[in-house]
Amino acid sequence: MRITLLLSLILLAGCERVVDLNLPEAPRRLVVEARLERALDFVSQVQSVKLSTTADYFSGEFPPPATGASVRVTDDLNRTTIFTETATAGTYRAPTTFVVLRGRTYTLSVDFEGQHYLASDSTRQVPRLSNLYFDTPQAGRYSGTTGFRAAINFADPANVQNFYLWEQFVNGVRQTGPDTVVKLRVIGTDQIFNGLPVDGFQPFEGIDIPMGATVIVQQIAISEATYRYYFALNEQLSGDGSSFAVPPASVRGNVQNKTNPALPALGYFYVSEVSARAAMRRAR
Amino acid sequence: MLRRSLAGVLTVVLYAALFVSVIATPALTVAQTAPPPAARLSGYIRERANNELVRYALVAVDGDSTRSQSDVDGFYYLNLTVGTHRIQVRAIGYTPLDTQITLGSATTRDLFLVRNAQLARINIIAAREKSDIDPTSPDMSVSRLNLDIVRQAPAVLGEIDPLRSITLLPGVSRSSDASTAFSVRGGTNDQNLILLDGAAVYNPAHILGFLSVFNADAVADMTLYKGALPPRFASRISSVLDVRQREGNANEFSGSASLGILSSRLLLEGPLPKHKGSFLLAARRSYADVFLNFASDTLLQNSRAYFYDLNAKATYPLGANGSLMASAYGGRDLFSPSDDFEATWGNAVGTLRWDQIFAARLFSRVSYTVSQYDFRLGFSLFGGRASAGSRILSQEVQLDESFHIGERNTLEFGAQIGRQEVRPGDFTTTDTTSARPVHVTPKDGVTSALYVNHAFDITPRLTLQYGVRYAHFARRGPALIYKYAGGRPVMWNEALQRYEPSTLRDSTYYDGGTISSHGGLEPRVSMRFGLNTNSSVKASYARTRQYLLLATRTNSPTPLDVWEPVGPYVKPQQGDQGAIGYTSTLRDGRYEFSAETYYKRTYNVLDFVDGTDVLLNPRVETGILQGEARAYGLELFLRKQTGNITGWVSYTLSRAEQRFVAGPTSGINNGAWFASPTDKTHNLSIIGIRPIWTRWVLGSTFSLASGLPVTYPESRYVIDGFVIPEYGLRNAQRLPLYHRLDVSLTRTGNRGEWQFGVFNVYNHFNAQSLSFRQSESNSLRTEAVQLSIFGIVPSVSYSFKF
Repeated sequence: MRITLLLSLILLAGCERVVDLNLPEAPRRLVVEARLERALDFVSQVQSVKLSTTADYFSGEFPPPATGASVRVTDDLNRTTIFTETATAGTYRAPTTFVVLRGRTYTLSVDFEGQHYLASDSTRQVPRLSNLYFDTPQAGRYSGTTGFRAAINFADPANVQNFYLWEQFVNGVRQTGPDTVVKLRVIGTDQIFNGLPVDGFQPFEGIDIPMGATVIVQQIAISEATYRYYFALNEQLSGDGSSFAVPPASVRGNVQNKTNPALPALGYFYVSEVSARAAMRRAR
Repeated sequence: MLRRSLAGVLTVVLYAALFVSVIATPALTVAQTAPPPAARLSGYIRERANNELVRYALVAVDGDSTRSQSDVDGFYYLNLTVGTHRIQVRAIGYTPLDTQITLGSATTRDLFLVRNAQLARINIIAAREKSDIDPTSPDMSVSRLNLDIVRQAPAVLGEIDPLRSITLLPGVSRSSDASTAFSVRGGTNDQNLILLDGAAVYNPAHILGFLSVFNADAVADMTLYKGALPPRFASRISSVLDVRQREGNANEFSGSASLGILSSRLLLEGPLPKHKGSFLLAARRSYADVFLNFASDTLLQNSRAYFYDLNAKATYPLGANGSLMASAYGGRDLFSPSDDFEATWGNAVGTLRWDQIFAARLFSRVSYTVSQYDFRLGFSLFGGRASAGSRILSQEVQLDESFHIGERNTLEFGAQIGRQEVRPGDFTTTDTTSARPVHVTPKDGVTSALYVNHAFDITPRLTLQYGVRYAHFARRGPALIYKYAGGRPVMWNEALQRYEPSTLRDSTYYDGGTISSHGGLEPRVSMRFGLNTNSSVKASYARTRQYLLLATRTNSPTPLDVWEPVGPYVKPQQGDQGAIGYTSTLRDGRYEFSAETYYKRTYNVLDFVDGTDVLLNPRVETGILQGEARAYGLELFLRKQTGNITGWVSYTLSRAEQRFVAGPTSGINNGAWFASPTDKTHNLSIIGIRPIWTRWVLGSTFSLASGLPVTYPESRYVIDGFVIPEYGLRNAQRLPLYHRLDVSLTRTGNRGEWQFGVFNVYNHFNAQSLSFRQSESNSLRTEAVQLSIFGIVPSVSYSFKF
């Protein structure tokens, strides 16, 4: 038994270490974070697009914003909306009159540093969240803590394959990111619940909701291509070099470069409906 | 259907046999013209103490006037004349036998050798024995693992693992210290056919790959064929690893037990009732969850896990000329990080075999094999219990004939027919109101094959071995087959520079019958030219085809890998390999040396579209890419199996590359060649065993190898708050040099044996992988993290015989 203990200590010592490397350099690339959302339950917010560029891998700074770009969105009825850069460098905002419509296809066009970029997507319908409440952790979701979680109910539509992205805000703070418990984008398909009511689903494992906190959960319908994009992104985020991880690979998005097709922009453009609910955790 | 095909195959084989006997007749006539009438002598070479077969023993008649050797089944064959002959038999670890036999007619007789415990222990052998790098044989690219040496060599955590040991051989490399998965001449893990007494083992891994399913106590012998694969083996591109279990002691009951750090083993063996035949039973069970401490994840450290396996074998003689054999293996792993989640996986393998010698010259074997691998995940879901898993089951009937035309003139032929059932993914749940079951369409197939192989001496210096295998694989229903736009499930999107699934058009349900059919000829040729009695030059060419591929995207194979048979969309792999080699024995056979160069081209190797989920994916073909691979290298091997110091030095210089082309400048890495994940430029292994005091033996291994290829990021960017590395060309850089020294000390008593080992003596943290991530303390900072599996690891184990 003592041998076992000794061994474990030795073995644990031999795991990970941070190393210094000389990395190859690459030309700067445009990075697009663009989602057009049609809110079902709230008044639509102003639509905006975030543009930045790549930086050296060890740069250690905020991503350099892509300023001075020309950003337009055109729908399939050929109506163009111009997004103008805000006081926040790299953020481009549509006029308040711009509303995302159901069933329309939108094309994002960006001109930046002499390169012309294009991406398009269609608004996808999302099933409405019928309830948001708080519950003890779901069985089968081992996540280390036992506090109350935000749970949602909705009915998955039959006869269509649905792909979901969920966001959760606690007191206005987004619950996914490198600094939170959930270090991945929370996505899912309806493969095992197609056409069934989903009751008490807790999309954000391991996040305890304190008493008095206000929680917003958003349910976003994404396309299969966007789902695959986030699936690949998650695989890279959890790539720890172990046997079960997939090898490192670039995550390829859906923004093409018309000027230089070999260098598409990084990132994504998607259009979706969003169902959101808010609730405050109170004593029962 | 199956029965009819089998009957057809048998007919063809019988015709082939007839044809062969006609061809062979002139040779016989020549042999029979000498005045004293001919008399054949054949049989098995066995160990006196326990009746176990002795493979590759050297048989010399009348002082070297006629020579032969026992084959992989311990069978020997001699073409002699009526009269009295002096027979001498030698094999590694046995006292040489010198006896006289008087022949009146064709005779089948077993020859018995006595194992010399002292000799076996320190491997002092006076004379030459048949070896895997024998200059007199046309076989090349064959490595046999001497378990006597392996047992005294250091093993990680004291667990002797035959699969870990083979990576000390030339041309074999391992991609992870945590895994027993191996690569042969730059190939992938699934291109190795691993046989246990003739039955395929689909996932030979315990503890997420850390140990193999082969219990060293129960294994008699392992032979690795790296090229020029004998046509009798079912096709895989890279290699065949033929593992044979021991037969058990036919003379008396005995047993052994051993206590190690990870697991304990128990072995029982003895004669069957009435002292006819023998049996062997072996069991192994791991202790509580020690290995989970290896994991960096704290969740894993608090979890439940074990594995066990059972080996059984029985051999029963049928008169003097035949025998029946039954062999079975069953093993299972369980891993459960919490009450809510459980993963289990395991193999079940069995073989039934009938061997018969006809007219002292036709060695005939009929075998039936069955093999299953499955994994299952159990978890709670929406208040019910859910289960997801996958399974492969194969059954095969095989007929192997080897007809001894002369001592050095053998014709082999045979046939196989088998059925494979693959259930790629099933999901079920008890709570049917909130979840639906998922059944990925079955992927079943029928394999059939015929082969013929002839090895003979054209002149005493020139030996030729040629053969051909014809294998056929038919995908059969019931199955649902999807149809895609453009007839292809994957498309290259030039504008986005990425592969994408094609648009689904519709689907066809096949009730039964053939969905797609694949097959082809696989010619194999090898020849040897003797330069002198001690050295020869060899050359070989072989084509192989593989119909069952492993769909795995992870860094190393895992228990959750799913087998993918070829079908309407996934094409069979084809490999062409040529090799030239030189073998020689030096200083009266005390040293053996071989050098080989090879060039291998493989078509339809697999890669995957980014973001493809392999598990429970009903349309996994939309994520599969097929490309080509090439590998070439030089392998040098110097071995000493006799004397005070035994061991070997193995060095490989090699290159393995692959490419996936979608257009003139498109595909993975823009369609250019890039290093395969298994590519190692230099790979050196040295293993040495030396007795130091009475009863004490020192063993050590040293490994030095180029780092595996890695991909470095060129830049980084932020998506939704996460910093994402943007990678440059795939596998364009390398991990640092790998080197490690292991040492062991073995003390042998009368019944017990202690082994003390130190793995990675100078505690060098070898890089296993390199990953790039956001720093936990400052999410703006990114860092490169090198993962190492083992630092210095001491071990102790004890085993005793009873």
